[in-house]
Amino acid sequence: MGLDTVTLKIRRGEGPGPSRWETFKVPRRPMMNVVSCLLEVQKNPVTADGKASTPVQWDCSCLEEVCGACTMVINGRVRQSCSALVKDLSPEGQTVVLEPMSKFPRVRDLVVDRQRMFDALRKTRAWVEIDGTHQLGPGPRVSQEDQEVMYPLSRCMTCGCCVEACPNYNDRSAFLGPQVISLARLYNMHPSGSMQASQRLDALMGVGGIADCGKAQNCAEVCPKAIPLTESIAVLGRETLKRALFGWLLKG
Amino acid sequence: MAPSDAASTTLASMDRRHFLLKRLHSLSGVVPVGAFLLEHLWTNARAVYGRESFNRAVGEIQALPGLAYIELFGIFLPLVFHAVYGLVIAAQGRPNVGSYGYTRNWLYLLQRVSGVVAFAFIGVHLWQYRVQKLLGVLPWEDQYAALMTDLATPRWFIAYFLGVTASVFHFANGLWLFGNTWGVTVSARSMKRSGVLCAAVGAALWVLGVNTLLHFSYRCGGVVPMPEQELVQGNCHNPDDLPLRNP
Repeated sequence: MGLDTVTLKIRRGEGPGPSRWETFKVPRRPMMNVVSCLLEVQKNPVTADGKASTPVQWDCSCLEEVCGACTMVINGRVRQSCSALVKDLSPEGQTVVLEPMSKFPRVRDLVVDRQRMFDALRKTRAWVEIDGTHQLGPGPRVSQEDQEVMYPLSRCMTCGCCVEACPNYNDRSAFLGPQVISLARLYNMHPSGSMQASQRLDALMGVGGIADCGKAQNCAEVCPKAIPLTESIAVLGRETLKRALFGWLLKG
Repeated sequence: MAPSDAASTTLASMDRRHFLLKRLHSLSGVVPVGAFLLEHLWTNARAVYGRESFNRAVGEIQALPGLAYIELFGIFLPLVFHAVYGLVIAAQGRPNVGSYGYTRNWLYLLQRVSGVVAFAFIGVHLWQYRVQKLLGVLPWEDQYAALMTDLATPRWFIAYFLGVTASVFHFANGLWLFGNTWGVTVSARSMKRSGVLCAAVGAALWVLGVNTLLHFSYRCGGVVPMPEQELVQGNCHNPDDLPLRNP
């Protein structure tokens, strides 16, 4: 077969309803990524066997692997569709299989609702609190050493790759996931954020917290931003343990 | 969820029982359950030096003061807690090695599988020897004969081989998990190195355990054939009072 088309096999469906597979053939152009393939489907939503269909729905925004919106399961592996290039996925015309992430409720086709991740951010207070809109002056300086640890952690875009690949993040467990643990570490290192450090550690000691990590370590393998998630989990594992074992000796 | 809920959620999770229970599970696997596994395999290895040596080692343990309490509170109850809570943990996971076949992900799956196998094996093992002794079917002294008879049959040899392998793997990988969970091995490099160390500990324990099993089966005409002269010279058997399958 000539390489003038790209074959896409897409798992489609509405909300929690049944899934169906549809195959599309779109014109192949150099430098295509999965997003540009989906744009072609949108232009001409006719399946490979000539049946009229509807445009496939998906999320995307930045198109440079920074926002995380276009995350989906491509050929069985979670990743961003903007940085998934056709020349790598289908060098000899192989079918590209697209599925929505399985750990979140589906909205439609490849669009999922990642609310569970945002709820986890809330639970762990994964932000820096400000106590008003008045001028607070310059913040404290952060050492070069800490900056080098914090910068990689700050690259998290809440895309969902780590939780999609995590065997302990599922409908049977309340696990908050690796992403919030790493962000709690980041904000606990931040000079202003550290004022809520104990609250974050307490939140991580509840049901679904850090103790529910199963150490499968897929999170660090699939993270598109190469965040050292397993190290973050180990660091906060140590911090929470210290607080659980000795915290009550210092302060009731 | 309104922003005010975030604060109440944080306060609600001040409850640390869940965290402490998980950490207790991790700890109980190393001490006392893991420590007992080491002791048990080490003591059993004395069988290699013969019936006398084995019975002396077992006799020393049986002479320990307060042994019933040590066994009940130091071994049995922690073991039951570790096993039952372990099943709860295993039931919460959805293994996905098909999509993500990384080493640690395989170890995650194998830790759960070996835990279940070890649980079943230990149950059978306790029934076979401990419960039979309590029921008066087996004598309290000189288990050597019973072990030789049982392990000489391929069925029991395979069951014990699998049971020992699963238990040792579960312990060695659990040791790695313990180091990582308790904040000892935090950096990626230390995780890698402790992996090598735990694999070495596991391999050594496995050799120790399987060697004892082979000894029981081998010397008495079990699954592994024994050269004629060693069978005769073997320091473990006494054809007069030990049931040998092919003397």
